[in-house]
Formats: sequence, C-alpha cells, structure tokens
Amino acid sequence: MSDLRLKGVAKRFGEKDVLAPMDVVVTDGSFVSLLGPSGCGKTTLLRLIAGLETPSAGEIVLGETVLYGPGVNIPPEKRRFGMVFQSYAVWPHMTVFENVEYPLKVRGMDRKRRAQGVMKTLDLVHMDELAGRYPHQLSGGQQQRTALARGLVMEPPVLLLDEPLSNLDARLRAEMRREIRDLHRALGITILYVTHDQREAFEMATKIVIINEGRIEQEGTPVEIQNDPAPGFVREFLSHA
Amino acid sequence: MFADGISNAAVIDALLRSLSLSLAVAFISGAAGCLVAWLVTRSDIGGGRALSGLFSMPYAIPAYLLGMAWIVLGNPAVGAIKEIFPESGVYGFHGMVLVESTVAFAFPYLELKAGFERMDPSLEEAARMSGARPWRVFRDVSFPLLWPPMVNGMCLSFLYTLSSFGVPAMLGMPVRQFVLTTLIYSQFKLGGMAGIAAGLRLSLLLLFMAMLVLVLSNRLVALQRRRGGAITGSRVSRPGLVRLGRGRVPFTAVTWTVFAAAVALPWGALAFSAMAPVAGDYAPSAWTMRNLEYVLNLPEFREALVNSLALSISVATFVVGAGFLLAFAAVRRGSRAAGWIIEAMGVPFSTPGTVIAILLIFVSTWAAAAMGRFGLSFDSPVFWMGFAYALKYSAVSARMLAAAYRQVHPSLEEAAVVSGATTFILLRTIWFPLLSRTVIAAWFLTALPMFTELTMSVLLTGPGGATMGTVLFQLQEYADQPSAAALAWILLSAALLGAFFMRGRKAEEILEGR
Amino acid sequence: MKKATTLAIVIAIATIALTSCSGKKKIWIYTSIYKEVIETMREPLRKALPSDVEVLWFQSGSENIASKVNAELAAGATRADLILTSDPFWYYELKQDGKLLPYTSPASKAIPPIYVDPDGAFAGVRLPVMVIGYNSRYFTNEADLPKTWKDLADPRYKRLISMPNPLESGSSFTAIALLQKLYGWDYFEKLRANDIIAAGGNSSVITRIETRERPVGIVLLENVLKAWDKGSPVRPVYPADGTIPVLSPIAILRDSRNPEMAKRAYDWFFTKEAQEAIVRGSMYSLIESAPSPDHARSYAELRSTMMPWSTEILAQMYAERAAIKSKFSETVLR
Repeated sequence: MSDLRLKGVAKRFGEKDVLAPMDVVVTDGSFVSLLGPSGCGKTTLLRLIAGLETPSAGEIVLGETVLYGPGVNIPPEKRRFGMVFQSYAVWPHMTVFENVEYPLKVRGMDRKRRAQGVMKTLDLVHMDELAGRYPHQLSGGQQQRTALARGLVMEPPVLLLDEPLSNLDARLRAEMRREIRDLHRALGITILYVTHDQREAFEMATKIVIINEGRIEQEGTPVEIQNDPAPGFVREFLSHA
Repeated sequence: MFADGISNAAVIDALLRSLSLSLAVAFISGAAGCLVAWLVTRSDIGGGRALSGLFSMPYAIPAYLLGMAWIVLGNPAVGAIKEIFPESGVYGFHGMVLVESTVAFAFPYLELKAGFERMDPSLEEAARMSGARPWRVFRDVSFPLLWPPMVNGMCLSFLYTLSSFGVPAMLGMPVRQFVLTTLIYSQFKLGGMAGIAAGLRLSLLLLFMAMLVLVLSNRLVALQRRRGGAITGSRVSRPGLVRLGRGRVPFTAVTWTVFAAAVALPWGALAFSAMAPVAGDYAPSAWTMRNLEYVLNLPEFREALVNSLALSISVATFVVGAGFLLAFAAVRRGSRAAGWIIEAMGVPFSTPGTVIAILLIFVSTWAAAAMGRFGLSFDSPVFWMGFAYALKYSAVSARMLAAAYRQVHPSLEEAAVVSGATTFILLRTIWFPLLSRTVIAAWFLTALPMFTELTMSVLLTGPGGATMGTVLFQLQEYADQPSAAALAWILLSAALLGAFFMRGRKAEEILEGR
Repeated sequence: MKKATTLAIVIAIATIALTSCSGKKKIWIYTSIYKEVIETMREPLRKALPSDVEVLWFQSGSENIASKVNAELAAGATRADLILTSDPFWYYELKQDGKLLPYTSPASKAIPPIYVDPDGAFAGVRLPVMVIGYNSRYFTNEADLPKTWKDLADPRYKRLISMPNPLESGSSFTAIALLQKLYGWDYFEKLRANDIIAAGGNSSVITRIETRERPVGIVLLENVLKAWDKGSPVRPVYPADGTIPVLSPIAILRDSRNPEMAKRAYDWFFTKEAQEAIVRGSMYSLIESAPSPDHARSYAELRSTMMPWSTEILAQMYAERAAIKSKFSETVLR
C-alpha cells in the first residue's frame, strides 16, 4: 500500500534548526493533522513533503517510491500530490473550470476526459454551476472550493492542505470542515492537513501529530491525545481551546 | 517633404530602421529581462542574490559610454573582440541592438523582478503541485500574471531606444545607417532656422510613433487587468526555489558570463583606454595615470560633480515623489487627470533630448524676457537642466509605480482606511512600505541617467553649469580620447559602485522583516 | 514634506537673487575656441575693458552654439553679444537675416579683405585649415602616404579614411564644398567606393587615426597639432592640391545690449596679445606678421598651397548649400 513515510527528516535554514530530525508515518487512507502554534515548523514539514523545499537530511518515501533520499530528489511536479494553499492560490487569469482542468491538462489528458474529470470534481465541491466564473467573481469560500477541486481532480495519492480554512469566516469554516471530512470518507483518499486550530484537527483527523519548535511533542488518535495529553507543552496548548 | 537635403526615401528608411531597432531591443531586453528576473527570484542559480542586484547595474551606465567602450573593443586594428565582428566591427544594426539592449534590459528586468517579488509564490507552487514543470509554470502562470509589468517594461525599452541618440550616432552613422533621432540631429546641426523646423517636423513623426506604442501597450495591459490583475496576497511563505538540477551549472555560468560581457568587458575597455598615453596604444608597458590625474584636476570636474550630484538627487527625489502621488491618484482614486498626466509623461520620454533642449531654450528665453520686464533676471542653467531632466525622466517612475499600485490587492489599503487612516497616513504607512522596492528601483532608474546626462545638458549649460555630461563632451571634442575615456571610466566606476551599494539593501531588510 | 517644499522655494529665490544681484554690465561671448585658449584670454580681455564690464564665456562646439543662438533668436533675443565660431556659412545666414551688427573695425585692417565681409557684418579672426592627418606608426614608409586630396580616391586607401560629417561640422562642409568645386562629385563617388567613414566631429577623426581604425583622415590641422603635442603619432600632410581654409569669423549680434563694449571686445581679438593666444592654441593668425603654430609650416608657405577663397566663393557656396549637402548625403552617406 502507499503509505507516506518520513525517516529522520530535518531542515536547517543557515544555523537555525527549523525541524529536528523526525519520523512520521501517514498510512494509506488516513487523515493526519499536523497541529501546532504558528511558526512551529508544520508548514515547512508539509512543503518538504510536497518537494517545494529540500530537506537537510532524512528520507521521504511514498509506498515503494523514494521521493527524497540519498541521491534522490524528485521535483514537486512528479510527486503527484494534490495541494491546497492557505491563500487559495487560484489563478486569477483562468476560470474555475480552467483552474481545475489545469492538472489534467499538464498531464496530457485528452479534452473529453478532462471535461468529465473536472465536472465530476466540481460537482463534489458544489462548484459545478460556477465553472465559467473568474476568481475575482467568487467569494473566499468559493475560491477555496476551487482550490480544493484542483487538488483533488487528479486523484492524488495524498492531498496536502496548508491551513486551508484560516481565511474563512466561522460559519463557512464549520461547513468546510464537514465537507472535507465527508470527502475524505467518500473518496477514501489520504489527507495530510496542517492547522493551528485544534478544533479542525480533532474534528476531522484520524491521527494528530502535535509539533512545537520543530519537534514532535505527541502523536496519536484524537481520542488518545484527548485522554492522555503529554505533560508540558501539549497540556498547556490544549488547555487554550 | 520632411527636410531639406534629405529625400523622403531616406526619411522612410530611417523610420523603418528606428522601428525595427526599437522592436528588436524591446523583444531582446524583454525576453532576457524576464529570464533573468525569474532566475534570480525563483531558481537556485549560483550567486542569485548577488546577480539580482548586479543585473540592474547596466542601466547605470550611460549608453554612450557603452558605445565608446564597444568601439574600442571592436576596433578592427587593435580591438580585443575584433574576431567576433570581422566585417565592420560593432558598427551597424547588430552593434546598436547589442548596446541598446544592455541598457534597456533594465526596464523589463526591474519591473519583472519587482513583480516576481510581489507575486504570491503559492500561485506558482500550486501549478507545480498540479504537475507542471518549471518552464510550464512560467508559461502558464507567471508569464500571464506578470503581463502588465512585462508589457510596461518592454514599452519603456521600445520608447527608450526610439528616442535614444548617442548609440545610433556612434554606431550607426559611421556605416551610413540613420535612425530618426540621428536624422533629426543632423537637421538641427547644420540647417539654420529651416533645419530647426525640419527637425521639429521629424520629431512629430517620432512622437506619433511613440504615442501609438503607448496606446497599444495600454490596451494590452487593460486586456489583462479586466480579469483581475491583483496578485499580491498576504504573503505566507518565502518562495521555494526551483531546483535547476543538471542545468544549474550551465545556467549559472552563462548568466555570469553574460553579466561579465555586458558590464565588466566595457568597463575594462574603458580602463585600458583611460590608461593609454595615446588612443590605440594599449600596451601595459605604456600605461599612465596622466589622463586620470588630468581629469581629476580639471577645475570643471569639481563643479560638475557638485552640480550633477545635486541635480540628480534632488530632481530624482522630486520626480519619484510626484510619480508616487500621481500614480496613487490615478490608480487608487481613479483620477482621470492624474492618469492623463502619467500618459502625457510618455511624450517627453520618447522625444529626443536634443528636441527637448531646443524647446527649453525657447522657453527659457521667453521666461527671461518676461522676467526682465519686471526688472528681474533669471538665467540659471542648472535650473533649466533640472527642468529638462524632470521632463525627460518622469515617465519611468510614474509608470513603474502605477503598475505596482495595480498589482497590490485593494484589501490591503481598505484595511487601513477602515482603521481610520487619512490619505497622507495611508500613503506613508501602507503604500510607501509596500511599494518601497519599486520606489527605490524607480529612484535609481531616474537618478542615474540624470547624473550622466549629456545630450540636453550640452545645449542648456552655461557658466557655472558644468555637469558630468558637459565635461565629458568637452573632453571628447577638445581634448583627446584617453582623457574622455578617463572621465568615462570614472563615471562608469562611480555608477557601478552606486548601483552596487544601492542594490536594494533596504528592500532586503523589508523582505526579511515581513 | 513641507520642509522640502520650503527648501525648494528658498533655493529658487536664492538662485534668482544671486544671478540678478551683480550690477555689472555683461558681455556674453559664445565661442568654439579651446577652453585652454580661453583661459589665457580671460584676464587680458578683462583688463582691456572698463572695470564695470563683466565678460562671460560660453564655450561649446560650433554647431551647438549655432543651435543655441538660433533657438534663442527664434524665441525673441539671444543673450550672446559676440560670437566666435568656425562656420562661416552660419554667419552669412545671420547676416542675411539681419541679425548681425555691421561694424568696420579699424583693428581688423590687417586682415586680408577676402576674409572680411564687405558690409562689415563679420571678419575672420583666425584661420583653421583642413589637411590630411595620418598615423605615423601605421605608415612607416613615406611613399605610402597620400600626397594630395586626389590620392585619397585611390583604391589603395580603401577602408583607411575617415572625415567629419559635413552635415554636423562647418569645417567639414567647407572642405567638401571646395573639393567638389575642384574635382566634382566623381571624386566623392570614389571616396564612397573607398568606404570612407563620414561621422562625428574632427576629434573623432583623430581618435580613428590614433586607434588605426581609420589611419588616414580629412581633419583640422589644429586637432593634428594638439595631438602631436601630447605625444600622439598623428602627423599632417599639407595636400599639394591645396589646404582648405576654414574661415572663422567674429561678429557682434544686433541685439547686443552693450554694443559699445562689444565693439571694444571685438577690437581686442585683433590685438597682438589675442592673436598670439590663438597661435598658441595651434591655429593660424590671419595677420601676416604673426608667427605660425608649433610643428606647423609657416603661414607664407601655407598660403602658397591654399585653395582659393573669396567673399564671392562664400556667397556662392552659401547659395548652393542645401544642394551640396543633399548631393553629399546621396553620394557618401547613403
């Protein structure tokens, strides 16, 4: 199966250790949330996995494929992950349809199958009626759905989400939490989700990894962590809920 | 029809050459500017940070100095690169394209570099995560999004070349290749009053072409803007650099070589010429400091240094300040008048310096006569030179700033307005810091050419009004080539040093602090 | 921001005040004479005039001065009182337009009448001549040198010759006007076939000779002599078919605000003192008794091989000016 495994992955910027060597396993079909305060290194970890940054040490393996390791560094476009950014990053010069179509187009799929794939995915995120719109004609929530569709359309082995809901209002956030969880269940895809919001993590994830100052403080299912938070940072952090 | 002693066919020939030269320069500098801007902001090219600053340096070099240097390099008898152009040296179309592109490169480059720095990197990263290779990302995402600064930069390159005189005069006229500006110049030079009239008629032709390009470029930019051009989000992360992989070494080598060829080679050529006892005698055994000493001890040198520094610093500050406010009014407040003023600035920018200077002599004579009636006398050459510089160079900063305002998401301003900021506070606390990189680049692009301006200064100067340009002209016309090369070398070194220290140190700090 | 505005206004007012405060009478001299020569003239001229007269010099190339004065005249009035440049045709044009103040100076009596305007509008004050310059390091064998203007048309000088652009330089225009009178346009067709470069001013011809880009040039003798002085290998050939005189007159503008003082300054330029300064600046004096410049042949010797010149020739060449320029453009510049 295609589990995502990180072995001793670390990142230094100059003299500073942004991430201490860490091991993380994201099993196939799971929903793992990287939780921690801002600046803790969780986004960096996600970008290392995506291939947007290069680790200083360690190994990243997806199933049987080494993505990063000694002498290997597969560029991000070949890692086949889907990714949703905090700022949505939907392209202002393309319509919703074109945005979502892009990953399929890049991979050379023919027009007809592309259209089918796009419409199916837009349907999933309830954007099918807005396919012809440009991003500046959309609300923040609609832009985020577009970004989500773009991440899902090529049915990636793992979908990476970087604080996708932090720019939305509370009502929309609740709605989107539900939708993302439903999507995960319905499609059975693997999700790696970075957030600083405990509620998002505990409500959606099957496994939570709590990170602070570049180190893993605790990992486990939401229930495990709720019942037995590690003393020190985790206990302190959770008490602020 | 257009001028005495020149057939219509000759005018059309010059017109076509002007057009093709300007187009070639616009496209070459646009393509190169885009590539280099991408390499230094988005890739892991070796020494990218250093290159990023260094590549804005060629603009600091006045084109006529580059022309001088390339003539030395391409000299069929003693030149260092005579093998590359064995037929006619650097004279001719290829030479003009080469030298003009070196300088005009800075327009698209600086605009695009600022564009890349302002652009939310996740827009590009999203494309890579979608499976697009770096080149494809560039083609499908970066390029269309950076269309406005690209068009604007190329438009400035085009107009710059169209109105440039020094390089076509040095590299085109000797091999009988005329462009409009050199044709206008020869009309002015030996035609008496009829010549001035003919020159002005030809200038109208030039102006017409410039306006055409301005209108066209505005159309092109508007095309993009309709789809919402704001691409600066609240920035979350620094961009992950694209790994060039196996291409890294060759890319790094080629980029550094191009930089060396564009800057270091001419610099070296001028240094050699400056140390030669006689032009053409470049043997190291004969090197002398005599020319440099002669230039530094010239009484006019000190006067010129003071004047040129004072003029370039004060006028550039004024021009950029005005551009900052005008662009704000035009883009953010939708002021028609401000928009028109910015458009109108394109007119003097694309008018040859000679024409501007001649017109200003008219104006200054009228002004002096008018003031004379009130018993005042006013003939400060420095004032009129400053006026000429402001006219000629205001377009660059205003257009750059307008493009920058357009790229920033309105929400950033709206947030401040909601917080109760007045317009003044808004400009000072939001726009100035946000656009500081563009402001610095614009100031730099305005001040440096003023420091070394020659064409207009030579006509407008008077007692007490020596500038670097007029002294250089003096040396060239009345002393000898080595002395002129000595001053040219000093100017070039100073400009390069200035550009090197200015290379956005402040900008870096702001970037880190964000 | 307010401070900056205030500062700017203060500076502007100060500039106006400063330029207007000196109550002296001013004489403006626009000239193309070398700066070094002006420096040696500054003091003597000031002494020759009353102490309440201030002499202001504006120095630039002949053609820049012409552009400036023309523009000033078109706008109403020029500031210049006296002009000393080396483009006789421009003076002729100014005279035709009634812009010059006729003045028959007793001081210019020693000048041969062919160099003096019959109506007294201008008079020659010095005599630059056009010769052939060459690089003595390039031509090591005397026999290879051109001896006459005619030689330059010989194919063995292909790609070796340059000259100043006559559309830009008055001295160069005089040269082509006299040469076409002597040899016709055929001659220029041959020069064109020799791929002559006709660009820039006299100084750029010297540079081309020195750098061996074009080791032979049609050029002003004074530029050759100056370069020689500085150790350059440039040397003159006085063509056997006639060195070319480039009349360099002095004239008073009709608008002059101090015509009396302008006349006194005018007279001064014909004094021994002024003429010696001119000779020291590597130019010939038009006064027979004056010495010749260093390195140059004597005036008497020069005169024996000089091309004919007269006020009629000047008038005729002025009338044909446009035609000559356009023919030259077609023949050589295209």
